[in-house]
Amino acid sequence: MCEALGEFMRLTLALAARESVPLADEMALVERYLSIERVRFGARLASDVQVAPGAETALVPPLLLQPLVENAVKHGVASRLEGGCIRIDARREAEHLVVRIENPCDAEPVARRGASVGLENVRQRLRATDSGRSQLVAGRDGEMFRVVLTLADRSIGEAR
Amino acid sequence: MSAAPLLRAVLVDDEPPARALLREYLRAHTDLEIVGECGNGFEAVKVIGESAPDLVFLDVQMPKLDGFEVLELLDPGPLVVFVTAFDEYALRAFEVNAVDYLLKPVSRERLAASLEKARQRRERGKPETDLAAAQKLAADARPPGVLLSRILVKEGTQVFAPLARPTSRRSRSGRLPRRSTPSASCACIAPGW
Repeated sequence: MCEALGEFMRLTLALAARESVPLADEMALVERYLSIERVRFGARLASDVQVAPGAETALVPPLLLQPLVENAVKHGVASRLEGGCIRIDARREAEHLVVRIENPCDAEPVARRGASVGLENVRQRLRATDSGRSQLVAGRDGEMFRVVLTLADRSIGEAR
Repeated sequence: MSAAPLLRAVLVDDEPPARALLREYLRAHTDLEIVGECGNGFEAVKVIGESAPDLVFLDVQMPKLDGFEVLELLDPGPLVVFVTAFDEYALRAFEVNAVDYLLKPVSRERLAASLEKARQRRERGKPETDLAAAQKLAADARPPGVLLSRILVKEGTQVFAPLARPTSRRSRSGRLPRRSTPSASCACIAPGW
């Protein structure tokens, strides 16, 4: 557990120092984070992470996904008696990288303070760094809460 | 030499590692017996109602039914030690006359001090806290206009949460204050249904 936390801190610091990182690195951090939360929640936390071939080399702003996955754990697992499964799917679509993060949500959520702070932070960051070329759409879809990030792939253009 | 009377305790925390740590630390206290462990508030109401422990170690933030809601649904009786990662509930803990308020991560020494308080409280039988003053303090600190958001119904030791959130203006107009006094509860408690 301490090693996992230490590794998570090291990865976070290493990623934060860079302007953009391959999706594979960002996902490694997310996996590490999920493994730590799994110690807390045990069988209540399940996850299904899919990165389509070719998507792992896309360049993204560092530490963008982690707060979104943290939200998914908070709302989709911690606040539910039965827990839930966090699904993450990343793939290239045309000139973009699309990352979907889904978690089950409550039919009758109890209002908690601090709602939407994480989402708003990510939105502001996208506005500041990608000036409208990237976007974040979030909302309920029946029993699921879904965040769809459509990111300008920074590796396109830079590689040429 | 007569042995100290046994403290029968229930542990309530939604995170298994947190319960495991408490269990390990409590092992050193031979006058304490863990009679139940619960992973959520609903289980807690059931287990505490059925086993009538002397002492409950109670987490605050749990899914659906938090530690304070659990207390509202229980008959008075067990001594309560809150165990939480957040310091912001301390005043409310005072209001419900908790024995102690432990912040995670809990040390063995701090836990031992809590147990000593619990033993003393039990020996005295009656709390010596100035409850009226504590309740006034807590009531003054509560944000005004906090409204009824749901109803909890207790049947035997089972808890149901039948109310959906009030969304329309009309339903809001029929609102009730969450609590008129610190001792009145927003939970609809119907023992003996």
